[in-house]
Amino acid sequence: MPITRTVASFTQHNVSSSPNYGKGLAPTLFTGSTNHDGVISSVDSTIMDDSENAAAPMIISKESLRTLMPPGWTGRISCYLQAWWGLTSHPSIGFSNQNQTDMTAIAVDLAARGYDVLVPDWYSPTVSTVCNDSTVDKIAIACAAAGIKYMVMIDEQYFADNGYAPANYQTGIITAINHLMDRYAADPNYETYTVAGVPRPMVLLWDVVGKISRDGATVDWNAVRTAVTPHANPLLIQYQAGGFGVTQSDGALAWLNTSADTPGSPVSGSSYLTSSFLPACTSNQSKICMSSVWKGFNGTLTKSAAWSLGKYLNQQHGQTWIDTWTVNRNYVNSGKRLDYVATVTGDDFQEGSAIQCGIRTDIAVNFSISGSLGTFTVSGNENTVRSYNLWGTQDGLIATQLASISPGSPRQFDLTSFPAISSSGTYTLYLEAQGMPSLQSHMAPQTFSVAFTVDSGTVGTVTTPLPVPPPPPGTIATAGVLKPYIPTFGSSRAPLVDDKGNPSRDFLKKLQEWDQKLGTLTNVVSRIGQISANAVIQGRTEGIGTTVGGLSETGDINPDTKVVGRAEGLGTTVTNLTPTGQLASTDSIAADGTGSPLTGGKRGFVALDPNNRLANSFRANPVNVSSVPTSSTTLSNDGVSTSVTIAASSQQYAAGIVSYNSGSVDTGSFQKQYITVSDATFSGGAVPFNVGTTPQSQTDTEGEVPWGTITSQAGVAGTGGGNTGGTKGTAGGRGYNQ
Amino acid sequence: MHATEIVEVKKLSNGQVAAKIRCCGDASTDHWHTMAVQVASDLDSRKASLDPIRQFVAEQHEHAIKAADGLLGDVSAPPVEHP
Repeated sequence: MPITRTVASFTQHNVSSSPNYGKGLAPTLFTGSTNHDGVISSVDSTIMDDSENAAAPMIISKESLRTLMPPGWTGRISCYLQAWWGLTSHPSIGFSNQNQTDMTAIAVDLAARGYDVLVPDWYSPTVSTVCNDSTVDKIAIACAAAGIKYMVMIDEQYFADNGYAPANYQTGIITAINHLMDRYAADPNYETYTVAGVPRPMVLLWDVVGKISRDGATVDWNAVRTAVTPHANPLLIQYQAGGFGVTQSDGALAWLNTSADTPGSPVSGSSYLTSSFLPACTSNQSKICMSSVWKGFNGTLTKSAAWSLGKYLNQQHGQTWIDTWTVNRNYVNSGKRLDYVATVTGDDFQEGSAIQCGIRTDIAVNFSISGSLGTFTVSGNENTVRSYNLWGTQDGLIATQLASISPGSPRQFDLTSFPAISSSGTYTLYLEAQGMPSLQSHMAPQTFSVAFTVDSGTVGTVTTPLPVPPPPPGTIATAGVLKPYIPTFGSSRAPLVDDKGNPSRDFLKKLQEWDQKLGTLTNVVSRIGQISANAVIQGRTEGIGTTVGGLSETGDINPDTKVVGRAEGLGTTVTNLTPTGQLASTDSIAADGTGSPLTGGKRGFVALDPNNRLANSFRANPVNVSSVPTSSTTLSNDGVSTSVTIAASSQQYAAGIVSYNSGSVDTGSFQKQYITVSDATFSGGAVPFNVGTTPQSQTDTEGEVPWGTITSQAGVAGTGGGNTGGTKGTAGGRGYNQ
Repeated sequence: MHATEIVEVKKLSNGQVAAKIRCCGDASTDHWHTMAVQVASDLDSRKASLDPIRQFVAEQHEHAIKAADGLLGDVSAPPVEHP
């Protein structure tokens, strides 16, 4: 059977994140700047948010993730969800986990990718700013609709969100587990694990033991077990490798590496699995082992990026995803048992780990046809590609797979043999570089229209490509696809008459076909050969009379014809342009000088005085401008810390006094330090300070204002800067002698 | 109780890393702390450098509030009405 798919399934957004997820929908998440362990760099905000999650549209491979594990592996694939989207505590990203329709769409999408179990990170029965019972209820319904299971993970923030003091943590965790089991354990869609022939529900505990330890609390897990046994007797899955050793632990779940990769030589962080979690699994094969996979980590969009510094994990265009799966596959291939492989995470966009939106790769593919041979080129790492698929469609809705080749094979298709084609006609060809599971699939940007004739009597065997003829007069090319003219009688060899001299059946059929075409033609061409005003160009809806209504009889654009989105006629639009397309005068610059910073010619006008000199000293570069600090000293060091404190202060310039917030610098050692402030626009306020250890560091950058020096010394407090230089430094400012 | 957070991080042209520290969400407390490359690139050094500065910013904020209270004296301000 030929493989068929809808064209839309490989040409349109096919994941459950919003089809509008991008700068237009969430501008604060798409500023174009990302934070890699404190190093700020730019990202392309048209394709990813600041935490490097993929923007829409995204087309990914829906091939099952199970194919990334060894054949016959009986474990389950799960996905952790924060599920807090749609709550007021989080920014709007175009879908809501609190909306049943959206949640079901997410579950269906993840089920289609091969996930067996969704794992919401639960914080409270009722607190409205986090994943609570209401959210899990919707996930339960969604999983039932998608044919998959769910199980709950209790987050360590549960204690704080529900008012438990450390002394009451034991009561708190018992209450949480019993509440969840009483509510969900009887649901047939709640995930169970069979122990000694008895299926038992599972409860995961995310860093709960760590929280208990950090807060100096104690929990008697034997007492917990006794208390929860009457409530469906759940299996308790603790956090990370150490979770196996917790009293009454039934197993452990892996999370991800929390040590940074190295800028310039990124790693996937899979050593967390190979060096820590999986060896622990080997030592605990009698318990439940939940390993993990991830696409990367980037905390830029969290409330404060500071906590996530040092945890960045580069996606490496999909290599991190591939690598973490490979580690788990190799582990199972070595004869060990893994019960679960879980994705960290499904939807934590703020931490840059969300796979809901798919994972971008760096593949680019180009396709071309020469004669009867289709060839293509590829750039990027091909280990993110499952196969190169050539699709053909006649109606633009359903496509048939004409051929499929694996990476490493010759990059070409023989267009003379496509057994999947069983009917003659004109096909639009698409070349798809299908990604590995959940990775981006890429389409060649160019499609081709090729006509095929199937040999009569051998349907479905040999086809002969017909060259696409040049478009006859009147043929319109749309969307890069030429619709060829196919003559009615061109490929017919049927006899005109039968053996009785009557018109043959085939000839009559051709006449009917021609008559039908003529009937269609009379709707668009008048009896005197003119195109009717209401004739519609292919792909458009208005009559051609409307289309050309904006043109004069000589083909010129009429003055009152409007540009799309504008209200005035084009004649008005171009009034202020010269015949060579230049502005007639600088007065024709709209809103010149209203930007911030000023743009256009007004920028120069504002900066200069009537004698074409700089209007005042604020128009010069700070490094050339004289100034004097108004305070006697501004720099201080306590002789204990290597940090130098810079007091809030003001600077007297010729054009006025500018006030600055406090700051500090730290070279990491005691020494003479030259301080400057980066204030290219004399704006003052909170601005970063620079510190150098050479005199010339004060003047090696255009926007710097000298702030004086201080020589810090271990065990000796001192001051510097200001207009005196203090006890251990020199004065700040420029053009001033103490 | 004052709470500081790092609201912005910049890599300066000379390679130094500057972090903008803010106390209690009040932008008037913004304080840039600049760290040399060797300080910023090591997790422990970075933390050791930042922690006392965060404390300093919190103390400065507390001082500023007390100073403002002193200026206000016994004058009571009406509660702010949010739209």
